[in-house]
This record gives sequence, structure tokens and C-alpha cells, in this order.
Amino acid sequence: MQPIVSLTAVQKWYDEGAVRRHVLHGVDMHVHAGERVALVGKSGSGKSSLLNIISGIDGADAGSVLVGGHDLNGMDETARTHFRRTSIGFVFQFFNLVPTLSVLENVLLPLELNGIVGKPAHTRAMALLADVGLADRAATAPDRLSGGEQQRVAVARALVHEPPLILADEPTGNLDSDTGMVILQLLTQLAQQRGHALLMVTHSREVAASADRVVRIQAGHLVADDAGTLL
Amino acid sequence: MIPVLWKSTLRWPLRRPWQALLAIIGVAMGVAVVIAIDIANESARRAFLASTQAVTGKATEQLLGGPQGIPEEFFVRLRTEAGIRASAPLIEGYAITTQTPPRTLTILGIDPFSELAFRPEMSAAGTPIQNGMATLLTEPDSVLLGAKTATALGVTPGDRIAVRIAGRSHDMLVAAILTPDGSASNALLDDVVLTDIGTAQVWLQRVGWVDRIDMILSTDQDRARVQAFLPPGIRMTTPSQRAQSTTEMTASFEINLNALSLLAMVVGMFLIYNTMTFSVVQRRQLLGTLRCLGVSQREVAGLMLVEGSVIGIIGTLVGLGLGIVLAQGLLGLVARTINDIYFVVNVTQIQVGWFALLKGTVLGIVASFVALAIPTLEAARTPPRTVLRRSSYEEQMMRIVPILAVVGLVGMALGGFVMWQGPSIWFSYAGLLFLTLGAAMVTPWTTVVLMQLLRPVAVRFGGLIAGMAVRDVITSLSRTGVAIAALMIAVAVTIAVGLMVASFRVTVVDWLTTTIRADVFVSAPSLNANRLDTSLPDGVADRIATLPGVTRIRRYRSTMLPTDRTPVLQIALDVTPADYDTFLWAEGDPATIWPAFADDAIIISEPLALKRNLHVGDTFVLQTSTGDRNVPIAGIFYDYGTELGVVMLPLDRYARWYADDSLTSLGIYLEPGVDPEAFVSAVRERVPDMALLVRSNDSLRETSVEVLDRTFAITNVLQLLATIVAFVGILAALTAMQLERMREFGMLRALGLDPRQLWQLILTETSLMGAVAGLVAVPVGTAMALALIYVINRISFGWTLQFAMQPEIYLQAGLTAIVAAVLAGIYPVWRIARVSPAVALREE
Repeated sequence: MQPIVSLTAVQKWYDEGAVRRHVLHGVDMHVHAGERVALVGKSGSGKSSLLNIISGIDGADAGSVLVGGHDLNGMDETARTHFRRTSIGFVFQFFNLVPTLSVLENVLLPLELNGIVGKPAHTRAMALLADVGLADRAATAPDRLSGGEQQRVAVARALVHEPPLILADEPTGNLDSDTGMVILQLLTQLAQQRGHALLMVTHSREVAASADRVVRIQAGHLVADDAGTLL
Repeated sequence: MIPVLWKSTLRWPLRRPWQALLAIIGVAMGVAVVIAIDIANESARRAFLASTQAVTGKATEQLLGGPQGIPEEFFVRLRTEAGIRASAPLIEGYAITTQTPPRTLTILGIDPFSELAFRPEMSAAGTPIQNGMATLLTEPDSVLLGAKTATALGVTPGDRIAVRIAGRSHDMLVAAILTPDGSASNALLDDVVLTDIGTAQVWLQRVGWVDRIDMILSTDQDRARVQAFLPPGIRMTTPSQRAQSTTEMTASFEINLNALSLLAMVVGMFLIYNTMTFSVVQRRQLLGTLRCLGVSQREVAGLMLVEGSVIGIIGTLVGLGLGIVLAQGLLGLVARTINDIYFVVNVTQIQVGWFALLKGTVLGIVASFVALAIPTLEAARTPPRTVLRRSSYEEQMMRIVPILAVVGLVGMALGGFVMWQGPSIWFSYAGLLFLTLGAAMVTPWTTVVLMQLLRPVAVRFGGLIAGMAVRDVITSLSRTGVAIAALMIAVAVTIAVGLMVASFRVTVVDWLTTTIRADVFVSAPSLNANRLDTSLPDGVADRIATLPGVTRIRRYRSTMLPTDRTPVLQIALDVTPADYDTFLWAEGDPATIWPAFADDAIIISEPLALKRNLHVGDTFVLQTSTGDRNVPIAGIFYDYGTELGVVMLPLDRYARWYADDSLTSLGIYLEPGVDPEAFVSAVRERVPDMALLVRSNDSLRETSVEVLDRTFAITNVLQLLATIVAFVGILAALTAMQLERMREFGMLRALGLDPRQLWQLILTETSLMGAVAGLVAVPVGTAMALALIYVINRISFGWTLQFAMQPEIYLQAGLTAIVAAVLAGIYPVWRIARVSPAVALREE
């Protein structure tokens, strides 16, 4: 089966004055449809850079980046924006809900960005809010919700337009452990039910344990997966 | 565009309504100042043109004479010998009613027999014009009034109106009220009184003379016939040419007012930019999230522009309404300045033209758009990865700051170059704008340098909190930089205008000291504060000369001299060697000037020389009663009395060339020890039958300085408005900045900072910002003042001013900056100190 994410010899560096600092050294990685992958590593190891490259937020300096059949290296900013709109669902550590929109409107936003409006959009958004247990809070402003509730809305927002790939950057990092576990279960369960690939950046063992596969990154190199295979 | 996406941004101002409100006020005030000036200028111009039309009627051509006018016997010859039947003589003057408040009436002395063809509105059906005309000829001192004027004065036929004309009291008898058809005709009669020409000649002390002769000429042959018939000293013109050359007199005044109002708009624009930058910076995280979710750059830019446009449109609409109200207030100031310096205009009601409203609308919306463009593009272009991290934005700012400073310095140099080398006044203003914006760009870099220098000192003497305050100014440079630059510009404008007005005052006071030497001055009362062109009654000089204590009387005759462009003031005067040092020379050597002046030359004022590019040795055409004369210029003197320009010639030569031996003012030199004030009383006793304006040297100087201050009243009002615009903006920016840091302050409270320390932290920070703005404003304001004094004033008015360095202006401006900044910190600190740390920490 064709992987949903296929990275080959991906490099990323930053020029800081005369010094070139490499953050990714020829990373090869594949994620298949429906697969749940945890990306673990120390701070500064290159996890977030890798996530940014896969989402098209940032570009790779060398190597090939194929996501959902799209070659991100060949895309300009506009094309990458449209790619994110259709193919990626985001869950951030700090929720990043739009404060000026209600809970329902936050979930409707990705649908409307994809041209799905009116009753079908409303039905789908409400169904997902019901799945995350917040149907009764649809009209509430995000700042009225607890952290856990806000992250549930973020999960619903990430899934609502049915992107093939969900990217989660420390999804439980800003929550207590019980709430974090609930959110994690919700995320992995919903992703699996709907057949979305899920790539989670995390420090947490619990999160890593919930994944089908764990990929470890160290100083910009992928060093191992959970089977201990050297990459 | 997608509705939910629209909501996400359009609801933003609702979350911060006071910030949106202040942005709207910024736009509104900018627009209001611009259109108020426009409406006031336009209303004065229209009032003048309407009054011109009232006195012009249907005339196609006019004949004008020398300073005395045209001898009335020439009119008889024109009708009988040249056969121009469609002609009417006219004499024009002004009367002031003795009621409170006084009202200025235009007296139109007409020949009832020849007049009706020129003013058909006055013979409209149903009016008692025929009876009225008959009364004019039979009843002494009788006048006709328009219905509106009669209502305003509260008079009916048979009533009398007490007035003063050329300093004497008269009672006008209302013969009839004119009620012509049509509002236009009614408007032409506003504040006009019609009387028989003979009556007007007596009132205006012009017996035997008429001001002009109106004609209706339909063919070129008629025109040629009249032209051939004209003796030297009488010339033919058209009413529109005459009106145009008069209104052109105020061109520089209008340009300067417009420029000042645009300056208010620039300050307003800077504040919109400031507010919108804030608005963008505040929601970088939101914009970053939207970009991550797949909102394109174009959509982000569109969202911001739509939001800004809504603010711009609301602000503009509010500004239009505010501007109309403001215009009514400014109209009096504009009209007074025109009356003091240029010509008599009687205007009390504003007339709102579509052009002014359109200009205000376009300016408001365009200014909002321009101000929005930079932050919007910046927000849209920044990659989402960077947008999500505020620290990266600050790092980016720190990298940009030196580049911005270099661009700013280049802008300032370019501004200076354009100003000095530019061919017109508009280039000078463009240069000033470059200079201002360049200085604003250098401000963030200056802030960083100053704060870095100050930090060790602050830590040493103020402890950690003072050190934090200094550091915060730098670490939030994306916000503090713009706010400081905006405040700096506002303060610099205050310094510049303050220094310019002070320099003008000092220069004029010095000039008055040099030129006004006589102990007592005598003139006839005039409507125009700066021009003494009403003739003195015959024999005044002789009667005063016999008073004890008089050593010498210097005689003057002032007239408005028509030229091929705007009219200039012509002063004929006695000059003896004792008077030589009452002149300060801009060009020419006194050793050669005076012999030439005594022989056949004239001397002219600096403004006239500069505006017409005249130098010593050139010639100037004087339209005399004995024909046009090309007269050599012997010298160019400094003069601050009128920007229209002054031509001076010896009184005896004037009498020969213009066949006019009347006088308009006298300068009386007294023996040592004679009290000028006592002498003033003695003059009044000696000529009790004559209404004269008798003033001592001190009193004349005081009056002149009062007129000067009145002239600058409108400048001061505009400067105050610009400062208010700036103050509102600064308050908005600083308040927003501090409120945005609620969470940070909550954290500091949680760490143990007590409310007093929080006060100390925030107020230290805002006063530091004010101090930096004030400090940078000193050189920038001085440079702007130098540009206003040496370039813009010189090009607009032709005046060379001395630069007057006044420390109190700097002190006042510096205090304004610091007070504005400190006040801006009070509300946030008050609010933050009251909120519990827990709540503050939860703030988004």
C-alpha cells in the first residue's frame, strides 16, 4: 500500500550568521493510512521541524517530501495552504482555538474552508461535537471552556473535514494526566474509526504507548522505531 | 470569502471595543480637521464671490481708475461722447452698524437711472423698486435693503440704521425693502445696502469720484471703441478677472492651512497605522492558527483590510459630521484672518460643498488603507511557523531596526534635498513629509540604543524593577517602537509649530521696533486691520502740526495697486535722512538706494521680490493715472506687514503720477519729554469733528502684535487638534500594549510583586517611552521648524524670519510627551492592579 507520508533523505538547516545549523540530517520516514505513529525525542531534537515540514508549514532544504501523493517541495505557498486545508488536521499543545468564534463555529471553519457550508456542514460539525461530548456547548465561547474541553474542540476541528493525516503536537502537554488520557483515547479512537493516519509529537510515555509505532529522533537523525530497528 | 472566517476577524473589534473606538476617533479627527479647513476656506471664498456678483450685476466689462477711482465727469463723457449707453457708475464701501454685535454692510452707491439694466433682480415684478429708487433721489441718506438683511437688522421702511462709515457716524434711512424673485438674487443682496451714488460719495468722502464704471458690451467693436476712448490711468477689465485676482491673494494662506490640516491627517494616519499594527501584532497567534488551518495569505490580507476599511468608513463618516461642526467654529478665524490681511469678506454661515465631503471621504478611506497596508502585508506574508511564535517576531524586529534606521536616514536626507531644491511649495511639503516619516523610522533604533545605555544605570539606581521596565521597552519593540514614533511625531509637530510662531513673533516685534519710530500715529478707521487705505479728512496734518511739542510730521498715502497679477500695497511716504535707518535691507546698498529713490526709483518689499523674482536694477510696472510706468527698483526691504507685497515711492512723486494729494496716515515725532499718551488726547481735542484713529507708538505696536496673534490663532487651533489626535492615538496604543500583557503582569503578581511595584514597573516603562519620544522629538521638531521657517514660509509668503530658540517650547513639548505616556499607563495599571493574579493568568 502507498504510504500517506513518505520522507526521503529530508534535510533542514538554519543559517545563523556564518554558521549553518542542521536540525534534520537526511530523515527517511513513512506513515501509512490509518497508522498511529508517535514521534519522540528530546527538546531540540528536530521533532517540531519535522512536523512543520510534513504539514507544509515549513519547507525542507533537501530531500523529498510526499504527503497524500503531493510533492510538497514542488509547491508554492498558495498550493501548500490549499494542501493543509484539505489534507491535514491539526491538534496543538495550546489548543489554538479562534477566540472570536463559538465552539461550533471553530469546528465549522475547516469545513467552510473546504467549501462545505450550510446544513451538511452543520450536521457534520454537530455530530463530531457529540462524539467529543460537547454538543451542548456548541454556542459557548472557547474561553468559557476548561483546558480539556478546549482540546476536545480542537480534536473535533482537526477531524471534521476528514483529512487523511492528523498532526498532533504534544496534544496532552498542557493537560493534567487524567484529562490527557481521555483526550488521547478520543483522538486515537476517532482517528482509527475514520481511517486517518495520526502522527503525534510527544514526550509522554502514555501517548507513545497508545501508538502503533514509535519513531525516535535524536539530534536530527531518526535513530529507531519501537521494534528497535536502526534506521 | 467564507462567513465563519469573516466572523473570526470582524468580531475582534467587538472584543476590544475601546481600541476600535479610539481607532475610529483617530480617523474621524484627521478627516474632520481636513474638511473643516476646506469648508471654512470655501465658504469664505463663496461669500466673497457672491458679494462680488452683487456689486457686478450683469456687467461684461468694468473700467477701473487709479487709487482715487475715476473722475465722475469721465462717466458723462463715456455716455455722451463715446456713446456707451449701457454703462453705470458705481462706488463701493463699507459701513459698520453700531448695534451689538456689529454687522458689516457693503455700501453700493449706484446711479438709479442707469442701474436697472445691470441688476434685473432688483426690478423684479411685485417689488417696490421703482418707488424705492425714487426715494433714493428725494430722501437724504436713504437706502434699499434686501429682505434678509432687513430682517437680520430688524428694520422696516422708514426706520433708521445707525452706522459708522470711514470713522464717522451716519443714520441710514430705510427707503424700501427689496424682495426679488429667486433665492440666488436674495443671496446676492445679503448685507448689501443700495444708495444713490451722490449719497455714497458724501458718506465715503469721495465726492467727484466713482470707483468704477460697469458696462455691458456685446461686440468687439464696442470694446475697441471704449479702449480707444480711455485716457491714461483708466483701464478696462472683466468682473471675473478682477474677482479672480482678489481671491488669488489668499492662495498662500489657503495652501498653508490645507498643509497644516494634512499634517493633522498624517498624524491621524500614523495613529491608524499604529492602531492597526497593534491589532495585527495582538492576533499573530490567531492569524498563525488560521494559516495552519489552510487560510491563504490573500484571505488573511483580505480579512484585515475589510476590518480596517470598516473602521476607516465609520471613522470617515463620523469625521465628516464632526468636520462640518468644526468648520463653523473655524469659519470665524479664517474670515478674521482674511479681513485682517487680505480683503473684506462678510461670512457667518458655512456652505458645505460636495467636493470637500468627497475629499474627506477619499482621504479618510485611502489613509486608513495606506496605514493598514504595511501591517496587513506583513501579517499575510510571514510564514505560519513564525507567526505562531511571538519571540521570533521580536527577533525579526530587532534585525529590521538598523535597516529601518538607515532607510529613515536616507528618507530624511532625501526630504531635506527635495525641500531645498524643489521647484514649488508642494515639493517643500513633500520634503517635510519625508523628513517626518524618516525620523519616525529612525526612532525604534534610537530607542534600542538609549535603553541599552540606560539599563545599567536603571538597575544600579532603581533596582530590578527599573531594569525590567527598561528591558521591556526593547523586548516589546514591535509595539513600543511604533507607539514611541507616533508620540515623537506629535511632539515634534508641536515643537515645530511653536518655534515657527515664536520666530515669527520675535522677527515681527524686532521689525516693528526698527520701522515704527514716530511717537504718535494718526489714521482714518479702516475695516482692514493691516491696511490703512481710508483717506484722512483734508487739513488734518496742518491742524495737528500747530499743536505744541510736534517736531515733525511724516505723511503716508497707502493704496491698493492693481498689477498684472494680484494687487500689491503701494505706500507713498516722506523720507528724510532721519528715516533711513527705519529700513532693513534684504538687497541693495543704502548709499545708492536713497539717491535713486529720491530721483525716479521705487523700493519694494521682500515678499514681492521673492514672489515675482525681482532684484535691484529690475523694473516694476506702476499703473499710474498718467499711464503705465516702468520704474527701476532701487532696493528690497524686509517687511512683515503684508505678504501681498509693498511698493514704496516718495509722496511728492506719487502726487504727480496719480494726481492725488490725499493722505491716509501720519507719523508724528514729538519733542523730548512730551508724553505721547497726553499728546494723543491733545490730537483728539484738536480735531473733535473728525473720527480719527490716534495711537501712540506703544499702542500701535501692541495692535500690530495682536493682529499677528490673531493670524496665528487658526494655526494654534490646528496644532492643538493635531496634538489631540496624537494624544488619543498614543493613549490607545499604550493602553492596548499594557492590557495585552495582563497575563505577564498576573505572573509577576503571582511571583510576589505587590500592586505598588506593578505601578512602578508600568509607569516607569511608559514614562521611559514618553521620555524617548520627547528626546527624539527635540532634534526632529527643530529640523521641522527650520524647514517651516527658512523654506516653507519663505516660498509661501516671501518672509525671511529669524530663528528664535525658545527653551520653554522644548520643555513644554517634553512634558507633554511624558505626561501623555504616563497618563496612558494609568488605566491599565489601575485595572491590572485590581485584578487577582489568578484571573490575570487566565487572560488570553
